[in-house]
Amino acid sequence: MKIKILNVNDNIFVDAEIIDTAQNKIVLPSITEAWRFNFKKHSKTKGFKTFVLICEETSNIIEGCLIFKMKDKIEPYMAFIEVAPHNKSENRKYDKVAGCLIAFACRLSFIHGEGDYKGWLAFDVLEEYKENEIKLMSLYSKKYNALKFGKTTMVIPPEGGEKLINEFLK
Amino acid sequence: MKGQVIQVNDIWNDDKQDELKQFILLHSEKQSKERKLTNQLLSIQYKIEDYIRNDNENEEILKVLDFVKMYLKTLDITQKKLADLFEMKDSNLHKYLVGERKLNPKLVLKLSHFSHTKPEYWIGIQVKNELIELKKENKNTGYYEKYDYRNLISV
Repeated sequence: MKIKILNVNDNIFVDAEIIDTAQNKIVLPSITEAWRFNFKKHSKTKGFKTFVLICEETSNIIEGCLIFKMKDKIEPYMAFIEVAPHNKSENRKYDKVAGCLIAFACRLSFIHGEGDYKGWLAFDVLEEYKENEIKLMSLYSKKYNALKFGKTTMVIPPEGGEKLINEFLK
Repeated sequence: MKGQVIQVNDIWNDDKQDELKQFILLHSEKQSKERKLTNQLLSIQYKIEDYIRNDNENEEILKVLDFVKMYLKTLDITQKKLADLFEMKDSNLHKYLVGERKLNPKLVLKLSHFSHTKPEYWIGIQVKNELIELKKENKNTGYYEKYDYRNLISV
């Protein structure tokens, strides 16, 4: 899917794409490349669908990665999401990478969710330190319209997902 | 948790799944009928967008009829009823929907207004299916070489 992300340095939007790794040969990142999650390993799990976000001009560099799964074939779940290490800090290269991937997962939840789950995207927020977890959950709530459920789980409802799709994917 | 790779199974279990189900059902109940319908309609719209956009050779071919059927199921009406609403004969509408006849602007606009989608989407499905047919036929290039003007006429 064609999208646009923001080059922070030049403050201009650049053409990018979210690609299904099942249809494209892509070397996925892992903890050895300073990523937090081992996408290389997790992508092999049955039922996991892995997507990467790349810029059209630098298609060999992964800017962000997402793993989506359907629980019991009806419940959409965002199992893993991470932006590349070079897009994390204040000196990050691109902005809106996380937004685009979350919006993309919301879109998948509309397509694959069944019955009452259509358009509902669940995910868990786990951080090493509790305070970071709370901060991150607050961010997901404000920026990505997520509702908190239980200790670590959040859910983006259809209304919130639709807004994100219109904001990040149109 | 430091230094560990988080596994989905570590944070997910049947109890949590049941609780989440209740949470979603509770919130889902609060949604208006209109909102629930919007969820269904968006789902079909995104499926059409992906079908037009994807260029996967192994993808299943879907006709305009397949997508119209999704709308009919969601809106709980029959194809015959749709033909009535579109002021067309059922058999005539069917020919357009299965690709026996090419979609015309009037029908495209009817489908577009009916489904709240862009008219381009319906043309897009038709064009995509024609391109699939073309690619399939193009594998038989040898047969068409005789139609090269140099083989047909002397210039």
